[in-house]
Amino acid sequence: MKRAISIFLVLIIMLSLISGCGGSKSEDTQEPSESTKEETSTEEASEKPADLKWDGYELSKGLEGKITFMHWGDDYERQMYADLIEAYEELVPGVEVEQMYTPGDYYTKLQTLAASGTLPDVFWLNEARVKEFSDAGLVADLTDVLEKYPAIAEGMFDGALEYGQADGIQYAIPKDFTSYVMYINVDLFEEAGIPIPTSDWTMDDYIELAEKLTIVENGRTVQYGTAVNNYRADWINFMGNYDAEWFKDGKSNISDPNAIKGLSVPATLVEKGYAPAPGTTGESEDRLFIIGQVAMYPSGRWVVPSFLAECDFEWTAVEFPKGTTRVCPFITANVAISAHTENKEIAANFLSFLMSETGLSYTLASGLSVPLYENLITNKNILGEPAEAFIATSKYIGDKEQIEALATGKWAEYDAIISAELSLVFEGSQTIEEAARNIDKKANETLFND
Amino acid sequence: MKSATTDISQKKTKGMSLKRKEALTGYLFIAPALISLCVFVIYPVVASFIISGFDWGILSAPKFIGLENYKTLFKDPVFLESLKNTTKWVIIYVPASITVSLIVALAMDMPLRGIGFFRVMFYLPVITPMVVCALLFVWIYNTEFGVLNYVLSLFKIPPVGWLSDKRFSLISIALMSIWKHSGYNMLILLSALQGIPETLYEAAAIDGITPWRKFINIKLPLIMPSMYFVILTSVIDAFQVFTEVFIMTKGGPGYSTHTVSYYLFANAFEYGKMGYACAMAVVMFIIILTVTLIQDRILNKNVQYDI
Amino acid sequence: MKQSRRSIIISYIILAFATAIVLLPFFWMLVSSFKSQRELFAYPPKFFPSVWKWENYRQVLNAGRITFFEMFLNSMKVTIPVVVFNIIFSSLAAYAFARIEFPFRKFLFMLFISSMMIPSAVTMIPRFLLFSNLKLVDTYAPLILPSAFGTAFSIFLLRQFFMTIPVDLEEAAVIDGCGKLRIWATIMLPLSKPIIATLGVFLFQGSYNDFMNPLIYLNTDTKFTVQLGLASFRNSFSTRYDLIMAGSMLALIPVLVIYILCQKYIVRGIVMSGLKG
Repeated sequence: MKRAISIFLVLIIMLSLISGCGGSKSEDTQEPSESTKEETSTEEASEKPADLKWDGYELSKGLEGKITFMHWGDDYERQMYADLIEAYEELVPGVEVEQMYTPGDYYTKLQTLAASGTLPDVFWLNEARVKEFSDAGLVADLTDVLEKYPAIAEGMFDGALEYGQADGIQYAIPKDFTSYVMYINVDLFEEAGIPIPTSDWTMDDYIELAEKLTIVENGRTVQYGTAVNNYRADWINFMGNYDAEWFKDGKSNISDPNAIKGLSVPATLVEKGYAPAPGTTGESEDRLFIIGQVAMYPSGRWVVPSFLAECDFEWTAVEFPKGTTRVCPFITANVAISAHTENKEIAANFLSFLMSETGLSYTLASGLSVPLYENLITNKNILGEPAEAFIATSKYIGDKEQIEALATGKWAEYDAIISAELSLVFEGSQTIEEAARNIDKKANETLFND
Repeated sequence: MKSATTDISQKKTKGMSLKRKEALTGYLFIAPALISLCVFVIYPVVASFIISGFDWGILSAPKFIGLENYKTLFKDPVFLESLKNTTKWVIIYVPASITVSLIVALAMDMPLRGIGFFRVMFYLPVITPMVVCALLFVWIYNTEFGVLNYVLSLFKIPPVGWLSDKRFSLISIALMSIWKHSGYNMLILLSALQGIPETLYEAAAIDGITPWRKFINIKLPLIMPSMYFVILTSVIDAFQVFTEVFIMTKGGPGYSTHTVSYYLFANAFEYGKMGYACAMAVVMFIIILTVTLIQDRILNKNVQYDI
Repeated sequence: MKQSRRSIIISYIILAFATAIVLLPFFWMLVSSFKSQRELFAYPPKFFPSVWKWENYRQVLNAGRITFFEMFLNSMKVTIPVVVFNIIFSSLAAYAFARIEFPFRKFLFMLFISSMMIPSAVTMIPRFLLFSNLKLVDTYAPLILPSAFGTAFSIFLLRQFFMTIPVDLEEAAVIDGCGKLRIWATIMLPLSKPIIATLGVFLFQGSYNDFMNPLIYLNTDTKFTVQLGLASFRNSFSTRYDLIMAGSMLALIPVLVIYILCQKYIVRGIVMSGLKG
């Protein structure tokens, strides 16, 4: 009996070992058959469709091969890009684009792929990573791509392309941008009998309105005038609007009086209780606006889909309040091509499709971001409501200091230092001057010391 | 080690063949695990030890810099702060969570009606992915609209910045973590308790001892090997706390919830300093190993089964 | 065996209290999975949804390139081999560490234990390099192999349990002339049902809830596991709490079933019945 059991056990082990191997093998063999099926079904396309708005179509003739394309986003974006790829494959029957959708921790995966020399052919790279990747020789020089597909750069807003450059060379193309604006809860303004601010409003107006719109009942704030995030776009905007030289000669310079002036705005708002102390992860501030507890909220375009879906009050967006000037910090995903791709021609062609009006019509429909082209930003089908404030920001895209700081290739760590010190300001344990001093000291000692 | 020397010295004697055969069986039994360990753990670990001697940004070519990373490490205030927080975390989290686990396990060990229900319910957080639990608590802890502050407000207690006040942030995460993980150790201790032969209790019942004495004199000694396991693994895990921090506070506010694992991850994948991160892992490894060996010594006095 | 009335009452109180604390956030999560995103964040909070939104579940089931069920099958392709092989190989090694004399035993055991002290962030890239060279990226092999042949945690857990099994049981078998393999299979394993059941639950949930490894190794979205599917409701811009909560509830069911099945084995009397066999 005992012997039988042990033999039985050994048999089970053997069997499951065999079936385990077999299982994974059949998995592999399934794939090619699927892709061949796709190819045959799309071979018919040849004539350029009349409604196609893509200049790179002629150059796609005769391209053959396979490229991989990696991006982040939620399931909605995955579907958007799946549709875009399908459209592209239909137009360019010889090419197969493999979508590598990464539902989280994008850079952990991207860097692992980079370290093992298996980067995808085309991939997203945010503005803070371009320098790092170009220094490591991982991204292809796109100068020739821009020559071959001039439509990519044509009509793009001034200052945008710079965010895909490192050392003056174009390594990546910003696919769109997300302007930073002030979202307004119109209902709360009406209740308080206050007119909606116009685009010439200043930081002083902002603070004043925040005070008026804050309601305290029984010692508990039931409505905040505004909310701020401890996020790079926020502090770049506050400093930049005072024309602060917060990054100068390769060094952190947050102690610049104008930078202090700018950062004092959110610090004051929190200190006086007109804004809640921002959390360290950023999500809760969006929520506060959505549940109607916040009258004014500075944020990027990306909140629009959830605001549209979830706000049960009237809301709109106005430009960020003016200090002495106005900047629009640039936050985007750039599209880059791997330096080691075997199919740069195809990758470039696919990139031009991504950036074409037809391509962008797939990806901008979500409302998550704003197109970088003059003719598209005013197109109601592409940039939905609210539009005005976003169109206005396209006139002053970019911040000189942001570009300078990005050029060091050490943005992520610098960013972490600034956030950490500012969170202590919002938490009430240090002043903005102390924070500025700490940031400059820490950053210049450890990061910008050469 | 002792057996190793005797084995070698008496290699040629024929009488030892039985012992040799037993040793061979032992090696055969551990062979699959050992080979797997070498390939999937030791090789990467050795690689990371080597990497710790380099200035390597993952992306760029590694540059050998000897002990430079280690020197920088002990001058890095953020690392030292992270080390302090990690220690604090281990000291708060481990005793609290094991105590909860043990008390609940003892209660679960009783022949109670509906025990299956309790066992399932108490275990629910353990099987829920950490990301989801962390997100849930971010929202429960929210200063403005969190349920916790809402409940407190009913008792006229002003809102507390559970995660945004540096005095509370680490404790708040620890409480969440205890909530999430207690069922884990509870299950290990419970299965140990259930393994105690009934006969021992029967003998004790005749002597008529109190439940407390029964716990100290019978249960505790018999579950000590499992207790030993629970303590050691909890300490090792606690030293590596990461996901909760990553999702709930990103190390903030200030550096109040920066832990070594969080800072290590940030260096490896955010700041692109793989060499530096590996140096941190090595230091961490040495610390955990030392703590483990010390625990082994202390616990060994009480357990007949040593490592 | 009789327990005193008092200790039973105390036990009930402890369990009721502990379960209540555990369940409150959990029920919050459950009812939230039926709320609209808007209602989720209403203030003051409402416990029950005004309308039970089953729609959340329907949406979760059909989101993604493949359905939730297909993702579940993918997860099983990883999880089942991990659980089965890990238990077999870990228990073999654990048995050796607990009962068989061999040179360097203590050292080797310590080696296993110390492997738990390395954060995965530093071993991730070398390991990826290995699988990438073996051309195994985008298959399930990198998710299965590292834990299929026994892992430190399992070996340690089983060894500690094996040590509590009286040696006399084995000695009787040795006199019978049983080989070590047979003692392992016919005495140790049957006697260790509680801990194997426990370990099975741990391994199952560990592999099933793993996010980072599938994320890094799987590229094709038709191979995605449940956890990757769940992550797609969350991004840096907007988190669909309603869908995450509903998805998590669904994802929980298989683990819960496994747990309920296994916890039946975590009962007293195993050791006694083992003695008879």
